[in-house]
Amino acid sequence: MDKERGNKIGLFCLKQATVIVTLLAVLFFSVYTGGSFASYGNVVNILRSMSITTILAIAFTVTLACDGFDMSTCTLASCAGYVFMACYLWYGLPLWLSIVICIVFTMTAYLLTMFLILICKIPDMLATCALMFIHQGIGQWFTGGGGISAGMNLPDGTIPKRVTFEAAFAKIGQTPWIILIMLLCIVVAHIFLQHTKLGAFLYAIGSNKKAAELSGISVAKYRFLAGMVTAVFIGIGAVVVCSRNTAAQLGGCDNYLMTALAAVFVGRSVGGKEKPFILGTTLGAALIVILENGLILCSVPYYVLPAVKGFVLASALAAVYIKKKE
Amino acid sequence: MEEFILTADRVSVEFPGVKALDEVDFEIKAGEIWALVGANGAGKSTFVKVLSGICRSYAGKIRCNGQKVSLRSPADAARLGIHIVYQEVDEAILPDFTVAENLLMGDLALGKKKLYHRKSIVEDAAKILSELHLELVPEHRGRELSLSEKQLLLIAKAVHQECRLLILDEPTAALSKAETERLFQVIRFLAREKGSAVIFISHRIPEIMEICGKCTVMRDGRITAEFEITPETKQDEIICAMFGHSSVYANGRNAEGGFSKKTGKPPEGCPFFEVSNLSDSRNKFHNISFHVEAGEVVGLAGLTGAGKTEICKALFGAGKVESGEIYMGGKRITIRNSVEAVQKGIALVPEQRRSEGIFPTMETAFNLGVAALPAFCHFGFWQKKKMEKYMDAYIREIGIKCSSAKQEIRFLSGGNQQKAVIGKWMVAKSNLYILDEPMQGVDIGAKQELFALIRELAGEGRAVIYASSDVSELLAVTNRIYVLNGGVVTGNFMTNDVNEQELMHQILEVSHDG
Repeated sequence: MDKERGNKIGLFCLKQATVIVTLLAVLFFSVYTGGSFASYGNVVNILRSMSITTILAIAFTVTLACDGFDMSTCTLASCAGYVFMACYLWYGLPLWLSIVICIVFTMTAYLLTMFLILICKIPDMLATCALMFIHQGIGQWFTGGGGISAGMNLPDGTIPKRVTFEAAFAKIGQTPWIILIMLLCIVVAHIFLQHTKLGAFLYAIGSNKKAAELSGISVAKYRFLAGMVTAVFIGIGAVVVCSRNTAAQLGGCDNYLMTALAAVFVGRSVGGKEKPFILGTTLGAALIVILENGLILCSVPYYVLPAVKGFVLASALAAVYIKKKE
Repeated sequence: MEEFILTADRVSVEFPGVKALDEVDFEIKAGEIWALVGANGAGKSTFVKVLSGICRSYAGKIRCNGQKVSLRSPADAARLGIHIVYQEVDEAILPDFTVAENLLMGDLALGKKKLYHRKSIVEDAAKILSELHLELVPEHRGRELSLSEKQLLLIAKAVHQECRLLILDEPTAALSKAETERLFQVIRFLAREKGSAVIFISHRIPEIMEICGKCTVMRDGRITAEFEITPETKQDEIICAMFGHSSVYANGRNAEGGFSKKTGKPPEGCPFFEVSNLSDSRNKFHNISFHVEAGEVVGLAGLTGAGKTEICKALFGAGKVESGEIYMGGKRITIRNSVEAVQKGIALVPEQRRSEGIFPTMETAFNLGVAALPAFCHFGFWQKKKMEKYMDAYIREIGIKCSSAKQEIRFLSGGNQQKAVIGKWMVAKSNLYILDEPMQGVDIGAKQELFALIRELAGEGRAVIYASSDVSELLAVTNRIYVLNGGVVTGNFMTNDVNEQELMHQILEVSHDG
């Protein structure tokens, strides 16, 4: 009886490992930094830092739910950022229109991703690997090899239509708006994956592609729709990143790939679910940002942090694959 | 060569929910050619996997020359001189390497041959091949060989690695008569001159009679018979042992009682579902014609490779059809993909349940509801709670044993998983059910319940196609049976007019007096 109970507790700990580690990290940092970690200012700070990661990780989660994989998520976001800033600064379009064009652009660009994966039948990993280069090259061709920021001329020397940012533009990247945008994305994506027909079919495909096909689910159609949803979130991510940086930096989103990936895979193991889901992804992003933030407060040099992220990703992946024995 | 005896003592293998091997005792001596026969799923391949060290988690003892040995990896088996040649010979041959290189690969890898010296390798290989009287050219590349040549090469490779027990897994399934003859010569030479023991797995009874000295029959994971093959041995003896006289399912059928057969009743108008002259492009089946009435269970009987699975998939739009017509309710239909098939009310329960039938990481309720999901959606929003509640009742109705509708299906036993796979289509209210080997990996108790479920479907006026190689299953559940052989319909019976042996003869393509 006691042993059984012990096993149960052990299993519970294993399943909730991510939650437990997050709580322990919070506890440790709170005590160690003497309250500066748990201060209101720092909590907001953490939420702000995790916003971009979370939004891009949501895009990744949708793809992964139907057993897809998109390495080019973040290079496409960088690309979309160029388009967004060009619309806003170079051509002086209103903010809302720039955002809409940015999202439409991302969806259009995603057609190529879907073409390579669904029609050319290239494995996801390889197709999106190639796309990373395509996005980088075409993006820079568009900007003339540099970033886009206020006051800079167009590559052909023309003077941009808009020179300064509006208040609304800057707000997107500031608290509390950036956090609210993140929360909105979380809620919408959660409802989408958990409570719609489309979401259910995506999980069915992710669980067993062949069985989905033999159950009369059109795998290509739903994977395509998933791609379009992913694209929307990539577009939103691009807008937020640009606003945060007040510029479309060269490859400004590229570095988020590994962090987003880590967030999704950490999230996948939350509660022993073994499938990607939005709340897990959010917790994953939170864990990574908490570790980063806390370690900086403990005066660990910032250039060591990638190793921390790497270890978190490795442990999350280990949790996924170690059970796949049979 | 020293004396060699391999003994298996009460060897059992258990997979979740199924006993694949149940206390098997077996003994083979040097120089014996031993046949291992049994229907699909009888446990032959599991037993062979234990002997070759692939199935590591077995219970019981294995002794070699009286000493207890542990067979936990293929390397363990190779050390004892146990070698296996699988049906899929291509996986074991390097296509870009020559016959000689393939043959001596073990020496090269183990460092017995220190230097890669092309000439000496060719010479060594030629010596080994001539010793076995094999006419293989050492310089030929692996990819240039025919199937039977590849088999012979693998046998030669095994012999070179001091093979004391050679296991051949359905070696003749794709060979011509002349090729089979050549293979047999080599096997006989091995047994007589080299003193190797040989286990020969085959469905072809006449071949077994020709080459084997002893025969072990397996059924449901157990050894049911063992006898010496003499010129007096009748094919029927083996067949009876393979399929047993008093089928366990027959009782279920009598107890069932309620199902009446449409004997002598002329079909009213056109049949519910009809297939006419169906052929595929890869020559897996040819000119297939049959029909199914509403309320009828029609059997497709045949061994592995007879074309059952290919036909089932083709009818569901998941396989390529070259020519032929399909009619449903008298109207000609085309089924280009599985989505169209489902829309037309056709349901497929695939042979590979784990890889094609279930969504392992999803809840049982989801697995049951997935084909009818739109019915549980309101403006695109999925009413999960409503579906779970509905499925809760449904799970009780068809008797799926699970802790709750929310339990992930991978934790259920094979039989309960299969109920869910069939149940999925009942929820979707499909009209034509295509079941491909639905009882694989299902234990006897659950089989009875599944039979009842299938009869119930027919009782409700649905049509069922039941593809299987298991005669007792076919007799227990079907109204009519079509026999398939090599992708062609070779027989057509009312189930009431045929007994187990006649059907078995048809399936195995052997004559009555054997």
